[in-house]
Amino acid sequence: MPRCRSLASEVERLQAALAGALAGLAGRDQTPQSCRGPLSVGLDVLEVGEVALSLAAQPERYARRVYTDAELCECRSSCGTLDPFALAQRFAAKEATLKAFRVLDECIPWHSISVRCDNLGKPSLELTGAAAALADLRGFGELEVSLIRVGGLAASVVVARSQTC
Amino acid sequence: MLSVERSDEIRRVIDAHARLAVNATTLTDETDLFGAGMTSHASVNVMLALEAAFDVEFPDRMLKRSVFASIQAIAAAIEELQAVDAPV
Repeated sequence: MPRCRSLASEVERLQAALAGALAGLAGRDQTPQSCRGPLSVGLDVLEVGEVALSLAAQPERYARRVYTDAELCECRSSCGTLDPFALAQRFAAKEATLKAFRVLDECIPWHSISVRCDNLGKPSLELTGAAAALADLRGFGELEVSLIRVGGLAASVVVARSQTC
Repeated sequence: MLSVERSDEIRRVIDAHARLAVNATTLTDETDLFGAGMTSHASVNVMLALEAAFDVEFPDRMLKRSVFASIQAIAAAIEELQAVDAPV
């Protein structure tokens, strides 16, 4: 059963990566202790192959409906092709954000959650429209995102801290 | 009651794009597609395929879980979109 062993190994590595990311994110929280409300955590895991298939089937429509221009720009290689790994990480981050925000059936367009990486590759979330409004409604002042890549899986952890003052 | 033609076309799209472990013909119109194994990412592919099959475009206000939760819900959304687009 080499495929099962491989999958189990990937899951173990993913669990370790997620645990490490969560600890790192909690450690970077700048909110003063006295203003810290509860943490809300969302995580999502996606097979990169799913994104690769979507890109192969209908690249432009898929990309334009889900990702912002800025995200597509960051996910293009020097030859102009879209990197399915990078896109899968961003899709996982959007889903992890929805989970951290405890979205049930609210309408949150994918474009209202954008993942940006700085020059050092550190990711952050840019919220606009419905996603920004929901963050305000839930009282989330601090957001941290981590992008993870393990084998054929892309994952993301989002930590949202509500502020009490 | 869904039209057989519309229901069959939605099932064809689900079979091709929802990545379920079961054939869509075994699902009832009310079966929870997410409960049956459709992931959020697969629902994007289902949405794009429905747009192509029915010549509609799902607006932002319809981009929520309940719209794609069952064959019945999808059919209702498509009916609403086609009614908006139909000539008066």
